[in-house]
Amino acid sequence: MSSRSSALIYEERPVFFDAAGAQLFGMLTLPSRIAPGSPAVVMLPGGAWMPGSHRGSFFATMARRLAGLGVPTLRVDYHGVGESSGHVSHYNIRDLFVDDVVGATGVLRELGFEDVMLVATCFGARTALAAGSLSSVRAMALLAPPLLDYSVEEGLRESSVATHVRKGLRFSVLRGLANPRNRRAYAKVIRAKLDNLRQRGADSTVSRGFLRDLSAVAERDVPVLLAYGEDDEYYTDLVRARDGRLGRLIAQAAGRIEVATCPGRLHGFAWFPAQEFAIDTVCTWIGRIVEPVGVPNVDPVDAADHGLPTPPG
Amino acid sequence: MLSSRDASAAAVRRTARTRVEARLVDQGSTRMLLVTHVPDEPASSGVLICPSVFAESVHNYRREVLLAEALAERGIPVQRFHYRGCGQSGGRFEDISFASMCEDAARASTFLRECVPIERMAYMGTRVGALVTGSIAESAAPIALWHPTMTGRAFFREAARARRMTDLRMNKGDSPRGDIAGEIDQNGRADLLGYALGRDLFESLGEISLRTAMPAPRDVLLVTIGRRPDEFAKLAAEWRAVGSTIDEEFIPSQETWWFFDERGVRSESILQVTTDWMLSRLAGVTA
Repeated sequence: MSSRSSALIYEERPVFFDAAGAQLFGMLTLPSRIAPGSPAVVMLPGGAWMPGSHRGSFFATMARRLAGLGVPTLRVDYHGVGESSGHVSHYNIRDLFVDDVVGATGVLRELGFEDVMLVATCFGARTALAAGSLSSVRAMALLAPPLLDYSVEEGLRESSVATHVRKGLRFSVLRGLANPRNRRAYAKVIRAKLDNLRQRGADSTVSRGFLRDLSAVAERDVPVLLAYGEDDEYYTDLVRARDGRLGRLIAQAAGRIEVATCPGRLHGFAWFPAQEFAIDTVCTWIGRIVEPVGVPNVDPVDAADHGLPTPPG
Repeated sequence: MLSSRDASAAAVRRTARTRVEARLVDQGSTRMLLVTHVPDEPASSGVLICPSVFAESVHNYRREVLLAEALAERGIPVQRFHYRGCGQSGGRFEDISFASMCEDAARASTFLRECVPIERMAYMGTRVGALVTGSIAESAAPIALWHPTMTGRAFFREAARARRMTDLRMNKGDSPRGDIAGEIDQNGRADLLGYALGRDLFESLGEISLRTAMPAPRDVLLVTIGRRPDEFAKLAAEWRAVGSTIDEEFIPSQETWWFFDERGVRSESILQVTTDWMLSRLAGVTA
């Protein structure tokens, strides 16, 4: 189904595709003219069963704005979310939805887009980062990605040694030592806490997983945009982490990793300024990567419905 | 692999005994997303699900999909949709009105009848979708309601409360936003936790009450999720007094309709209750 005005800016089309053992739903937004050599964008929302249109449909708005730049997009319902099949019982940063991204890139490849950019929020941003090793990924805009692997590391950081000792001396825990599986689990917690204690300082607010994935992406010279609100809890982690390994990584990337901030909260996108900042920042950043076809300021919602002109050419 | 697409540009996915078709159709000056759950076996009755809007629509979204799948697996086709301006449909949030919501629901209902030759419809409304359902359903058609919003005014009162709580959490307690009406007067729209509320919806929905929107008598399933408002008992009594059959179910939960958390997806009992009720009401007309 294309936009209905005679001045066609984009066509939107629902798709189902196989990924992660499920059939995922996505909404394609295909510009009438593609920016030369432009990768397509895969948009990944956060957790909490947020569908691909995102809060206030701001992903849909962003997709239609990008269409004005000649950039195609696919916004995705994760498996177990929205219109997709499958099941999600909880979200865990140690169990990211990389297979969903692989499936989405497959859809775009079938349409002739070998390369993709990832635009993602929160849990989706960590998923995007983990998917950064895919050879098709050419850039990623990560909006409010958590630096820690909540809730495991958060719990380890927040709980004192005394708390761990007290918990460890509970009768149920001591009784559980008879079970080899429990012994292994307890040993894992002790090792993790010791690691956490050794890491006190700047690196205690960023997980090894985050640093590992960001390093891998940086090594491939993939441009990365990190965006936070100054009141985001994750931004506090970022500020501290920049004094450690993360700061060195950003410096070594020599401009390939950019950090953008806005006043107030970005995470959650629960007010217009956060959504407007995300849309403006991502579109501007992508506009620097691709060669826009023109009409850069199309109506952010539904350009063709408002009679905007066909992109020149 | 990309799924096959039929002649009307629907994306299709299959389940064991059904197919799910998603398509964008023209509606007014824009497009709306329709999702049709079609059983493999012939059917003679169908269900339309009217969702809520704004943040609370996300709460029940997955439940509505799972309910549709459960009913379709049992031979009942189900139509779902995104209102214009919402979700994956075209348009803007601030342009919707209660009338446009009802038009979209009616269009979705008509579409199902065009797709599947059914004799009878039942309806399902979640939260503020209950007001839409009550307004468009044929007289005497069975209606299931998930924790319905009693009035448009109550809906906006809850929204304003959720907004104040969010402002406090976002450290804006020192400069709280004004009331919703004042913000619409000033900006042409109000920011309801990232969802745009325009004057048309604020004024038109504000006038709607479930008590008046849903004529009786009819069969109603009233599912209370979480805390049970006193108004539900009063309303059920009033409906019974005019000849409606009201089945009430209470699902213990800690729902916070305007905020997202993992408790929002505990669905099994809600789905079971609703599926069983729909099957009982549509028995005899389902092929």
